[in-house]
Amino acid sequence: MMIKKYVVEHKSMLLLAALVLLVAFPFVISNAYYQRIFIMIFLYAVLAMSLNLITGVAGQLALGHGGFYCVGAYASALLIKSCGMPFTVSLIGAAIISALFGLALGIPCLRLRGDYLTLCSIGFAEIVRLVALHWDKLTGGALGVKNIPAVNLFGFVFKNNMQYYFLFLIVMVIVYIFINRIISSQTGRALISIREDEIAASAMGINLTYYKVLAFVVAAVLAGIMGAFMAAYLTYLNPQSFILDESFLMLQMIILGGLGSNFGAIIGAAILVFLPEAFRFLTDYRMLINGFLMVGLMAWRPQGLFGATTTTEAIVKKLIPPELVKTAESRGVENENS
Amino acid sequence: MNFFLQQLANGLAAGSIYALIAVGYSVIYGALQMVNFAHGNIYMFGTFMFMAVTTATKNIFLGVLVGVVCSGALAMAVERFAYRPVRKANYLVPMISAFGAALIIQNICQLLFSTRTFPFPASVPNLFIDIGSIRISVYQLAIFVVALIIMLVITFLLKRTRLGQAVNCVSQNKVSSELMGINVNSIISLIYCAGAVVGVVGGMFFALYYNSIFIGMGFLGTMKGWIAAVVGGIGNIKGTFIAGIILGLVEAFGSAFISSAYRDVISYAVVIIVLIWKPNGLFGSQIAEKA
Repeated sequence: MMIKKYVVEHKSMLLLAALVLLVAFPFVISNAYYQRIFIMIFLYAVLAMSLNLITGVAGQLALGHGGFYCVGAYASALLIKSCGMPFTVSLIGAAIISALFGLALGIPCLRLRGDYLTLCSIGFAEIVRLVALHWDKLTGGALGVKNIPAVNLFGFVFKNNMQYYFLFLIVMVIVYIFINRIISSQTGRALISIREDEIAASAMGINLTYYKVLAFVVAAVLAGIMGAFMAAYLTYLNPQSFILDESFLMLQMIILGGLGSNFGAIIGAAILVFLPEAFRFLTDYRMLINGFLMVGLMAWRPQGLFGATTTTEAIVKKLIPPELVKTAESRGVENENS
Repeated sequence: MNFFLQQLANGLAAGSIYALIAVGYSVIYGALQMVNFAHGNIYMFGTFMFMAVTTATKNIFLGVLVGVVCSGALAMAVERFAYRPVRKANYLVPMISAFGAALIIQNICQLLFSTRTFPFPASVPNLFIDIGSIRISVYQLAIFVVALIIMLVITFLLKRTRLGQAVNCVSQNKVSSELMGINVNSIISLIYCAGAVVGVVGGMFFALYYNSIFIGMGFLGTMKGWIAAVVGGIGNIKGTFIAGIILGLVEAFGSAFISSAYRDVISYAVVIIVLIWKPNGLFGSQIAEKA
């Protein structure tokens, strides 16, 4: 409790300290392997934060996030390789194409009830992957796309891990601030109210489909952009990188970190990228351990490490003076949680 | 025309297998609204056990028995250790547990049996019936009949027996059911067991019809079962059965006339289109819902 209070009170200072450590890290440890792990952590942190906007904040369980990631990666890689576009243009192209896919999937499917959306989004991700696998002429089929040029931002070509480390770190920090701003804006409150109670939200005049689609498209664009960066960083792509397990991994990250918590998504990404690396010597048993980890975590701490703090209940509590809550409780007014 | 009829026969057989797997899925999905990612892997495990015992003892009936018992028991174990602790949590949580359980079962199977594709363990005579110029295997017919019987039995059990009523009560309200003296835990356990047993029958027919047993059949079955259950309307066993058959037919014709590489794309496209067109599934009833 003491620690928790301390963390809450000094949150911004602690975040700043963490950022300083992250900036210092590549100067202290020059091992490419460790830098690479951190790059993957930043990459997945952005993917997890964007999925968190749909699932954690707006409460819509979409499992097709790997599909947008795949669309962005292929769109960018093919724009560069086949059309000869510079990286900046292909990055914007990837963002636009992912946004269009997000709209095309979101507008019809977000009207559906929870688990139907899940099924449709899994279907979408699988369709994207299978098309990438079988449409040889466009995507190179199972062999994928090779020799993708490195990230080139306005003439600055990223060459080594250190430069990529800072690129991905900066992207992550920007996305973190961006999504935090969304969450604390009017849009964010609308999304949270949709998660908490759709009927009440629509009775308050919130356009459910508009806000859901908005969150969906923002998340799709972020995933698409990360796909573009990832393709340029790894210099190759193949459909095997976008199997359904990827989408599940992202979901696992935000559940582990705590649904709705942006910071939790980063921690979840860090843990789930790092753990398989740490258990690499157990190759045959890695996925088995991963399975036990998932089941165990859900049983031990279903709300995640940093469970959502911005529920409507919390917002209401902030607005009502504590004395009033106390008197209401002492009069036996029930606080119903369903 | 012949080609068309032959595809129809193939589609019906594949559809009957999907229907069986989906009916097992739907029993759980309908009663508990739980997206059971482990369903496919549970019956996959049962099918592998069936294979192991049949190969070892040369007795196919013993194999079937062991396969059925193993999947039923495994389903109950998964329910007890993975689902029960998180039953009251947000609906996402049991889904993740289920996925974890699916991973565990899949990897244990991989360690035990390797990732090879195995043939059906017993040699079965090829029996055919020729109708005009198309040839229907006796097994295609048998699969369809068995699927139909199982579907009717499940519907009867759910609608006409005390046990079925208890299942319906638990599905509507767990707390009230408990107050009425229904043992909710054992009913839920039983639902998972029943789903897995129906599933493993589908799994063994799958092995027979395609003459192959492999790790991937689990996840494949989960998705096809889920698709058929949703297309048919959640909790509607008859609808699920019909949807399973439709799915088999669509895939057979799609593979024949478009490309077999896009078979799974076709089935995913079907579910997305059906849901956009009829959000309650083809045979689902209109239910007013509170979010």
